[in-house]
Amino acid sequence: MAPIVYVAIVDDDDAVRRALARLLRAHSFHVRTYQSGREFLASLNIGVPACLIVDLQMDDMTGLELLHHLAGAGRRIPAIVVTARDEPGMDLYQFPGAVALLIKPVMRDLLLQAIKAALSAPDSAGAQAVCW
Amino acid sequence: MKLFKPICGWGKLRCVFLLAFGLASAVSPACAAESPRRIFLLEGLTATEESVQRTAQAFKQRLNERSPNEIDVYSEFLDLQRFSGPENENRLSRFLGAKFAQVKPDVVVPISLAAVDFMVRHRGDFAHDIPIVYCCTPTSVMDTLDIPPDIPGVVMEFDWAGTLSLAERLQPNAKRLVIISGAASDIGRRRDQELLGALQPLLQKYDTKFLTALPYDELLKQVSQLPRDSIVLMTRVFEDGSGRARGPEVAEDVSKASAAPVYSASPTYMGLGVVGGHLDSFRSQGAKAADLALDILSGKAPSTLPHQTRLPLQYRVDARQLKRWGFAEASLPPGTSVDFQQPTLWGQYHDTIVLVLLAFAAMAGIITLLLIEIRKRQEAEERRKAAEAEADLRRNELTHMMRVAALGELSGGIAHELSQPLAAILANAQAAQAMLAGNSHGKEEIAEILEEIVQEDNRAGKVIQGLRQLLRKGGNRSALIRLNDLTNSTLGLLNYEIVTRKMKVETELKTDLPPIAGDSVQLQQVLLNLMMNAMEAMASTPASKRTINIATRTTEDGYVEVSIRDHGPGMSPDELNRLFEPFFTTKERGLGLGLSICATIVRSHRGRLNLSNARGGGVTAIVSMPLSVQLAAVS
Repeated sequence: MAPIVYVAIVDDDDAVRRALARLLRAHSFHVRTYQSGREFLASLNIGVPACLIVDLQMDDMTGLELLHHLAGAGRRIPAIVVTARDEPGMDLYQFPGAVALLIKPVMRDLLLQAIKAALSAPDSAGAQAVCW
Repeated sequence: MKLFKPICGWGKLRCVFLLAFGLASAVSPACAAESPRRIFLLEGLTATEESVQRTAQAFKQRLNERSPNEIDVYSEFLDLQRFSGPENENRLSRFLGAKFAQVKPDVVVPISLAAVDFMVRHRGDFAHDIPIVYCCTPTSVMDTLDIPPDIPGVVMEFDWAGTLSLAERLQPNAKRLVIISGAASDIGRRRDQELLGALQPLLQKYDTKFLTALPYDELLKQVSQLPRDSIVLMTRVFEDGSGRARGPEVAEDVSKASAAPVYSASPTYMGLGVVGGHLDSFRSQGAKAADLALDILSGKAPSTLPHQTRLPLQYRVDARQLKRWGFAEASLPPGTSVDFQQPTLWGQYHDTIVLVLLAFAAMAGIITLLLIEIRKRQEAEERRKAAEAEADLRRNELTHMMRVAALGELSGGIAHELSQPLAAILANAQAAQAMLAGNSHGKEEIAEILEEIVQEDNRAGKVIQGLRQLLRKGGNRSALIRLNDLTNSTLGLLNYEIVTRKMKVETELKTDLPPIAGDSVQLQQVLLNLMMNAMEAMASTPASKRTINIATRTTEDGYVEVSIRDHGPGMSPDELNRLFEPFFTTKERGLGLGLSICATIVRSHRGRLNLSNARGGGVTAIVSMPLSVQLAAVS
């Protein structure tokens, strides 16, 4: 049985996390949510998401730290970085593995487009499995 | 008036002193050796007559002035005008003889016509070897009296012609002349003759009318009906038409009743309502008689002294009467003595008025100075208040600017705090849209989404509320503040900073703290500042140790306090000393105003702000707010 293609959401803000999950599910994505980077890392033993949506500002481990950790561990998961903080000088390329950098509040079309780009990325676990 | 008292007191003291001195010398042996000389005054009229008193007074005064030795003066009032007749005279002779036998006078001085007449006739009865000096005796009766040559004395002149000339100067247009006399006794008749004799040549000029020996009421009625331009001459009236004896008050009654000015050549009537006259004076008479008596006492033979001394006369007028009749002083003969000048207030109370005016001036001065002083103080007070208001304004502006600056530093975090709920709302709303379009989801899920949207909207609203609070301008809005709530809401504002700087916050907030009174915006600014300082102090502290300890509690001396402790490097003694100085800073970027403003805010709340190195490293900042009595009661 082919593994389920799912999108992982890592955000320590409960409301944002739930709302994003709801939005993606309404658009027929499989979604798994994690409230910290460590929880997500732990889940990789069970499965790897086709796309990672990660919040930048998080207690304990920030989104950037998580991405560095993944890169350091050789994990290549296409990531969409979301942040509530729009700071000048912030650059997509400083985030390893990121395909998009979105500013909260995130518009649906932009998000869906970004997910689409992520899933079609060569590294994505779901590259071949996208079927909608 | 009190000012005068000590002076009077001193005066009295001095009098008593002199008196005591005088008494002492009177009983000294040297003086006692020679017995005092005696002078006996025989007054023809009664003691109540003012003319009698004036004469006796002047007499004694002259004695005192001239005599170095003590002279005893005795007085006897014969009242011969009212008690007349040979029997009375004999009684008096016996009486005086008995007296003189007991105390023998060195000189006897009969005063007035009646007394002189009596003395001349009865001298042999009781005073044949006593020298006599007479006075106050009209010139016109000298020939009839037949005074012996060894009796010197002073004659009194009744100058009716002169008195009329005075009247003519004052009333040049007068056509009518009225002559009043009593005239029942011999003396009275003699007076009339004297008067008429003197006036005879002048009378044809006038329509002359005699009011002689009228009943009293009739006399007063007649004078009251006189035309204003009449001249009234009044001789001495001793008896009215009904035979009743009259004193000098006749002049008062007549003058008051009269419709025309009254004049008299008798000095007795001077001051009793008559305008005036060309007059001798009783004072001069008394004084001159005293001179003669002293001459006799000094050993001169009476017969060598002037037999009839005449004194110079003087025009004298009563100022009050000039005023009554509207006579000008300018029309008076030169050298006229204007007596009874109504003393002006100034003349009478010159010293008092000056003193009172000075006192008033002094008081006015003092009051003025006080008013100026008060005004100055008011102005100073106003300036001080204006300056304070200005300072308050500046401080408010500054604290506000500091809050804005703090907000600038916090803006990233605030944007983050605001973006999170907005993100959740947007995602939820779009999810709902997708669900509705797909028609594959139930109502319950949509309701859940909407519920979450409402919650997140509230969350965003609170962030904005906190922002508005922090940015609010002006201040000193006093309200009850719960320190724990304020601490928590401040931590909320700093949430993003705390997270991104990897700080840990440990709170130990005592429950049931009594509320404090103050401006929540300003106090939150203080807490914000202290918390940010704590975070900055730990910038280079290992992440594992980056803990801020926040605790609230009450103190025993009535304060509610919050302590904020960091685990940074702490401060040097010099830094601790200068902490509250404006523009002192240990930061690379920073104005150095934060703590000085915090201290000002806390002080204006009557609170205390202390910073000290904590045991085990770091700095502890403690804000202590007073628990007001009122609040203590409430709590």
